[in-house]
Amino acid sequence: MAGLADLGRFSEPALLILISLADGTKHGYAMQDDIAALTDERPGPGTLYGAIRRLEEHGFIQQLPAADRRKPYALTDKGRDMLQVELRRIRAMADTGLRRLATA
Amino acid sequence: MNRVRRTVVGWYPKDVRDRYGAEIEDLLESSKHPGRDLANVAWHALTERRPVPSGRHLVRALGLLTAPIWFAVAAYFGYMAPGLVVGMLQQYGGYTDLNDTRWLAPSVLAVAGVVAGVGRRHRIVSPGAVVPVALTAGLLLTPFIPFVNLFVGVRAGTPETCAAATWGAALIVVARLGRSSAPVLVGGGILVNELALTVYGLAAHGAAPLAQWPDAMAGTVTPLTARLAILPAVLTIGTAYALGVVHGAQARTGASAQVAPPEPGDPATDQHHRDHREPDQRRGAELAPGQLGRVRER
Repeated sequence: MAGLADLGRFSEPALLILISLADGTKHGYAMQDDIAALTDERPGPGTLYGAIRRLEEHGFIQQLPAADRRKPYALTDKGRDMLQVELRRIRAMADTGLRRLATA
Repeated sequence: MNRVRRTVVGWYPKDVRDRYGAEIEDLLESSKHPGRDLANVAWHALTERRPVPSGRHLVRALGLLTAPIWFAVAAYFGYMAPGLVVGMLQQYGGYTDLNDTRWLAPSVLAVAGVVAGVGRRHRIVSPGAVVPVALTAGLLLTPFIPFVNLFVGVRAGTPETCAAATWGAALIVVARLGRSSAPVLVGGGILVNELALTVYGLAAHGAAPLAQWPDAMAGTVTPLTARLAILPAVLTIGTAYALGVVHGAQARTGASAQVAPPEPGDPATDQHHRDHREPDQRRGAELAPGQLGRVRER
């Protein structure tokens, strides 16, 4: 399975989008709010939709039909699996780093 | 501000703009930091990757850029054929008062008709901009091509031929399009012709002959008409080609916009639309309401 590293400069905003969508569907504006609350930094629209586009191309998220121009997005199975793999990798990396700091 | 937002979003490649443009504009509209977000969108719009042109696209672009050279060759042979007939009539028929340059007009118009038909079938991105630019560039290069350069000595046509053919093509386009864009198209075609003619004259022969207008055209100062030679014919044919390309593109756009929506349940149209949807649209359409967010990857 291709990882988020394949998304290049969009890998970090892509991870944040996957995390934002983990608890349900959201449109772009709600994702911006959620990511701002998570990181204290609101992604610009260009950054957000650059990452959304690549996540869609890789089949990690799915655009859903909408009545107005704010279209909601949802995780796909593949995206959910990818998010779990990425978060476990980050947790393992953080555990290792913290353990080494504690023993230093 | 709306116009600025729309302009910046318009810098995205068409496929991105079509899919996300409205959402990005919506975020810009409700942004608390409009300047920063506008800069962010502008940067990503300009750096968004564009589709890599295929070999077929490159061949087509090369064909377009060299088209004026082939037009010059076609115009030359179009001139030669009636010229032979006229020469025989003069030599063996005693019609010594025949002016062979007048026979060029029908041959140029015939070639123009053929290339307009060819151009109409071409599919070129932004033909209204690409074709005139490419033709102008090609026309400026044409005098420097050794073989084609030989034709410069031929008295091949008159500015009147060019003007008549351009207006003829323009009238056809106006009649067939019946749209407000037609005058722009026609005016642009004439302007490109005039610019190409002027730049050609200045580049090839310097500003001095043009400054002594109209003596330069009459040949008392510099035989400019003889030196311009086949250029009016090539411009005529090039204009016909350009109008053909643009008209073909507009006709295709109009035809696709007029396609009626498919009847639900019609197996043929349903299959057609299944085959032409985006992959993500296919996935979305096959979702049951309770399965959102749990799409099985194919």
